[in-house]
Amino acid sequence: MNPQTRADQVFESWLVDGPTRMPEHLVDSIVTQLEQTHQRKHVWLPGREQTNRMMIAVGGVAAVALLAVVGLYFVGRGGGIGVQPTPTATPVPTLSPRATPVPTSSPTALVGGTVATGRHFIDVQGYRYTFDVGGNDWQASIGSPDILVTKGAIKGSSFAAMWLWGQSDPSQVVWTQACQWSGTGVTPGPAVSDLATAISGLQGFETTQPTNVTVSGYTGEEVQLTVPTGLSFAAGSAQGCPQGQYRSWDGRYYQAAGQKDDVRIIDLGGVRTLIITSQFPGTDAQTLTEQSQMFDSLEIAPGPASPSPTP
Amino acid sequence: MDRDLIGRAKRGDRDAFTALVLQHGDRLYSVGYRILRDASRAEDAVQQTFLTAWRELHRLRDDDRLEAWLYRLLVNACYAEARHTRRWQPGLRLITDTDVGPTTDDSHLTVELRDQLERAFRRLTAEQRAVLVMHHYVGLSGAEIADALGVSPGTVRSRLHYARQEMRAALDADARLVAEGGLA
Repeated sequence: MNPQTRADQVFESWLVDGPTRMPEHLVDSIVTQLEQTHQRKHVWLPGREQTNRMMIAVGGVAAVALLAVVGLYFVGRGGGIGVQPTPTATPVPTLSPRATPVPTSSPTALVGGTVATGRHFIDVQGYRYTFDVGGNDWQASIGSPDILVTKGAIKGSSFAAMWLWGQSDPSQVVWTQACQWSGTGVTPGPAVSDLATAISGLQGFETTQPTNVTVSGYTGEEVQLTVPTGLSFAAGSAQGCPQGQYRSWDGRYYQAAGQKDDVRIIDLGGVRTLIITSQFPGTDAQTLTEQSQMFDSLEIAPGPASPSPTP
Repeated sequence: MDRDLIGRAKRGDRDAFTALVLQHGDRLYSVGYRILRDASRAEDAVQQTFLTAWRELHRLRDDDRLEAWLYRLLVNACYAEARHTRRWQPGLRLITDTDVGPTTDDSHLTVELRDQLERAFRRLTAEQRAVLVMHHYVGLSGAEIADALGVSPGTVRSRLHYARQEMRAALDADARLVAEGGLA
């Protein structure tokens, strides 16, 4: 027998092995979710597109007006035929607001892997995020979440992270029960406050009520989640939970008792964006200081080819 | 049958859509599990698949292609799940014994061989795993996979070729260990 054929046969035998039926609780969960999920219909002009069209229209009018002014200026200089135009006040150019002075050391582009100390920037979905990294051993990954910077090991006691979810926001399903989460998912409404309220109501966490927050000029709400200290997470698995997972929303699992998330939810040009800092209770003071410095130094600004800012 | 249910579901009938979930759920879950090798993540992927399908049902132009469309949504959901597990990261969890679902009779595959295959499979990218499962488990041809996943037939061939090579290498390694008396 051809070795590849034999290999395929063995592989297929292995592949057949495994579950073939969807668990009952999954069906229940999907049905529950369907009740809370609206179908999308064909809509040609969603809000942002309308805004864009309006901006294009306004831009077009402005361009025509500018051309007219320039044209009149040259006609006036050239002594055009006909009535001499009435002198008009020379338009005074409006000074655009000056950018904040660039720090002495220019930020460097953030890439995945070990992050050097210093100021870094990264462009995500039309916005530029710039922040300081004030210590060694921070690691970055980019993509999903949009930005993730961590220090420490999740199997250890000292661990801190800051990350950002924007367009790929996974919090569209929030599990109302952290331990027995399956079947308890709800879909919060689209507003910042909808998600903040949903998170603050999670069972199985110590949560705070949503408070107003401003991150780099963008307003939103903040909620703090803490995993109860009485829980056990041997080898990263939540003991006593049916699936070993302790969840807040889709894709978010917790790995330590006392783990704390500060969740800031801001509206960034119509995109609900989550900026989260998380830490284990045993995180050393130096790491916590660096984490605070990173968040406090965070600047968000419209980046190259960005939508208009709506802070 | 599907056409009637799809038509009603497109008009917002949740009961009709639930019937579609029951019709296609087992198949999607089986495939999702085999791509992700993790029961919980497969559940997440299947749930995401059906919720996306419900929200975006108006995009399904040809009702006869529901299954292919669902496969595409599922595979995309599996890619997203795989990305979550690849790093910490905010959602990392360790693979545990409970991830291995109920099994059928597999006495002809040794524990060591299963372990080799499992490890080799986990080393593949989600894209390679998907084509491998679609071909060797679902039984689709390369052209059908390309159609379902929205990639070129050449891409499918390439992914399949590489993935099969990797799996065969795992088998060869296992055979060497057996020959050397290392594990068997």
